[in-house]
Amino acid sequence: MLGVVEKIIKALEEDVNRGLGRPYLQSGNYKIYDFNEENFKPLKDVEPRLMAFVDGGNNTVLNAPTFSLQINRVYFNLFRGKERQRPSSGMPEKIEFLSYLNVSKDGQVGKVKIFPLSEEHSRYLPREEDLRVTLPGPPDFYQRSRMFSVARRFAEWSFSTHIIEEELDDGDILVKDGSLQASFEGENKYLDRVMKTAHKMGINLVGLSKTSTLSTDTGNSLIASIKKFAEHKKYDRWCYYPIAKEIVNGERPGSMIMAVKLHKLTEYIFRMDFLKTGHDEVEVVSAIGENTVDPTFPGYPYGLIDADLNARVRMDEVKLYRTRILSALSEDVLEKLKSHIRALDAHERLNMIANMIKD
Amino acid sequence: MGGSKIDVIGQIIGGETSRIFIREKSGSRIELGDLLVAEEDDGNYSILQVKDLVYHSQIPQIMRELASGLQLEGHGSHMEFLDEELRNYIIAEAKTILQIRDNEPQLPKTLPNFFGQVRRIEDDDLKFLMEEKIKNPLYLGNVRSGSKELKTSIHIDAREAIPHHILIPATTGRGKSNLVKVMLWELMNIENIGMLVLDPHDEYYGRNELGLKDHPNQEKLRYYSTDTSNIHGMVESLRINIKSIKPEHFDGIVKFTDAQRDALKLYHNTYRKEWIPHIIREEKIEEVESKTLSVIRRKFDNILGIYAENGQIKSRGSVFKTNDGESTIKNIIKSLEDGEIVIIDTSKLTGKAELLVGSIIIWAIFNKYQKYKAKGVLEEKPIIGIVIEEAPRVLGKEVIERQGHNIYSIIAREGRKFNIGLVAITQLVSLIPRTILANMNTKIILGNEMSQERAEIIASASQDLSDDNRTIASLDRGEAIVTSVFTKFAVPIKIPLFDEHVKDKINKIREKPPLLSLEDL
Repeated sequence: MLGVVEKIIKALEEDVNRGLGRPYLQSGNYKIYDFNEENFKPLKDVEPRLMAFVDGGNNTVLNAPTFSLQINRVYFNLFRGKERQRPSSGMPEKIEFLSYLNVSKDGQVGKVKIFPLSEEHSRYLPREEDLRVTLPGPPDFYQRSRMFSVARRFAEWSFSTHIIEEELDDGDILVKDGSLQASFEGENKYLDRVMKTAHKMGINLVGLSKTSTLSTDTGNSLIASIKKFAEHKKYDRWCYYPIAKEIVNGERPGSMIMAVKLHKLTEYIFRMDFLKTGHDEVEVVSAIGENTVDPTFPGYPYGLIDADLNARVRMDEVKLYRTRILSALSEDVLEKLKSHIRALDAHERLNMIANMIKD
Repeated sequence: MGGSKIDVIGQIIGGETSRIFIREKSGSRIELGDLLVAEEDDGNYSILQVKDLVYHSQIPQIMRELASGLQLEGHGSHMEFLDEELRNYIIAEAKTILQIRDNEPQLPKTLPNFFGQVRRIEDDDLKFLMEEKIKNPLYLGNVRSGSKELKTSIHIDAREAIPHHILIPATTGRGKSNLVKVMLWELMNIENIGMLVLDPHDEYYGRNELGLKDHPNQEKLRYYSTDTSNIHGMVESLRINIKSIKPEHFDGIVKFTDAQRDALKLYHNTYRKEWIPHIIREEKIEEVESKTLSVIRRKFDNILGIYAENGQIKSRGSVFKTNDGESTIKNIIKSLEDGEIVIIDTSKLTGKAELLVGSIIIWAIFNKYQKYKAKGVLEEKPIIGIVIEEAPRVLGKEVIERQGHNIYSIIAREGRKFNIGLVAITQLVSLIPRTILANMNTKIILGNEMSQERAEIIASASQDLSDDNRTIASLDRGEAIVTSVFTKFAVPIKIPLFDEHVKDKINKIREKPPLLSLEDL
């Protein structure tokens, strides 16, 4: 055992001592910039700006090889610096809907139907005809489960477009959890729409990623490399840009990838995707930094913590919907449904047993 | 009430009948003991009382500890809780004490609306108290919500409450003397109530300050004192002729053996009103041993200050006399029967002598009232109240067990039948037997920091005060809870300061234009 541990330690040492290398992105749509110490900019004390924080959540109500029923929620809040603001337009702070993913007989295409829980929410939701996805590779469950969130992701973009139009103004900021990169077929259409709207209205659109898989060409974590690089600089809080810039041809500028350390007392450095509208990147990042002083997670915007908590779909809500739907089904449909569901729910059962043992 | 926009200070978020959880609206500063109102759509409403306050937070404990550490260690200047009022808050645990249905107060049988909003109580919400028709209203104070005083005043019917006994439990400095002073002042406005006040601190008459002597109805006041010097007003000398004393007056007050007690009775039967001089002179009766007689004589010497010198009976003390004060007891009884307040200044007396003076008077009135009852004329007579301080001296379990029942404990058990009641004041309720406490149907509870005492008070209250332990402990000077079979609920009150209360009353009278005399006309 001792020999094994030593070997692991040696391998780890080699990995962490690798050279920084150059930033590396899988997507070819970005222009990559080499590391340059001059790209570090200290954050400033700035006037608070109006910021909208957006996040979404979904959870499975029913699941079978051929279909999946999800409950989705998208939520936003408004802060001016540290102070929460009330929406001024009367738009809802959260939208909720059920989405039903149905797999075609050949197992290659998934179509999603959406059912808003309130008719008033329909206008903020994506169109059903856009929610058609080609399922990746062989139809295995874990690949497909990623598709469950397609409706929620599209809804996040469409809701964000409305937030920009109805709640924000020139110079304000919309911060969304995650990157500003599309993951699904057809998603670009919604992403592009929100970016164009933001650009047109002078709104700064920001995606903040809690985790980042970006790396350098030496295989290091890009964020870890920048952190190491930052040790030479004695800034308490900073932003580093550009790491990469999106290459676009059209009506809007490309987004930019940067790394940010938003609070003096944090160890966390985040990837930030930024669609800028002016030349005040540092001021915009600094303004977001003003919202990261909450002790529960210094360096991470409190607005996103709040958005995450409010968007999260809890298991008790899932159970409520599951019970309501199953109890309304006729007996024979229910029997058939059970056999479909059992094809997949062994995993859930195992989790349940594990939890019982843990308790 | 209903319809108008309410000033919300909290919202019901859960709980059960005896513990309703209310989230406090930030900055509302809900207090322990606060009275809150939860309205319903139909104009009915519930009155809730806050029993406890608890911190709650959406932020995990470990995070709060870290945040506090950062601040304490000087790293916190760059941090602050955002949305603090949303995430850190106070939950008030309250209990519904009354529900008002169609303007009628009822004991609560339903929960107020889930997620219903609550507001502070207003005088209008207590209209039913003001509309109550009380025949002989004895003012105790104003309704209190937490430490805030409302305008609504609280009265109990004196003629009902006094024969059912009133207990005032409180520790020192919580305002019991002030309360008794206010009560006596108010009782002077009520007809047909005779009050005997044994005043060991000489604090009620107002010898050198404002007191009952300043009452507009001062003609209803009788003040007996051993010290009649330097005093304005109608003081009467507290002198009691030993002829007024009977053997039973010592029952439960002075410890006598069976043989000694038999001797007392024998001497009384033999010599009637002259029985004490015969004992003092140790004039032997055959059946009584010399030793017994000698012990009794010594005890009388100690307690009464009566002794023999060259065959002459003399009195050393200022109260018990051999050739004076023959009409004192008779006069006191007459005053009580006339519905007057009789204050006995016992400040210069020993504890035993004080109790004995009380015993002599109370036995006399008790015997009279027994006769009135037998004749069927009791209801025509004023009710009698007896104010006794440090009540466990006569009502204590140990005392009764050791010395047998005394007239005070007899009144506690049987007085109600004869319209005689006690107003007993004590710091140590736990020393009084439950059977007596249960008979005291009105309790005016002042602050008490002793948990054992609070437990006894709560256990013997007329209403369920099981959740009021902390509230009683936190009662400030002049704050009280009235629990009584004559009130709809355990009412928190604020007792006015006597001086302010009195000045106010005196001023009101002075402000009235003088009546024209016949000569003026």
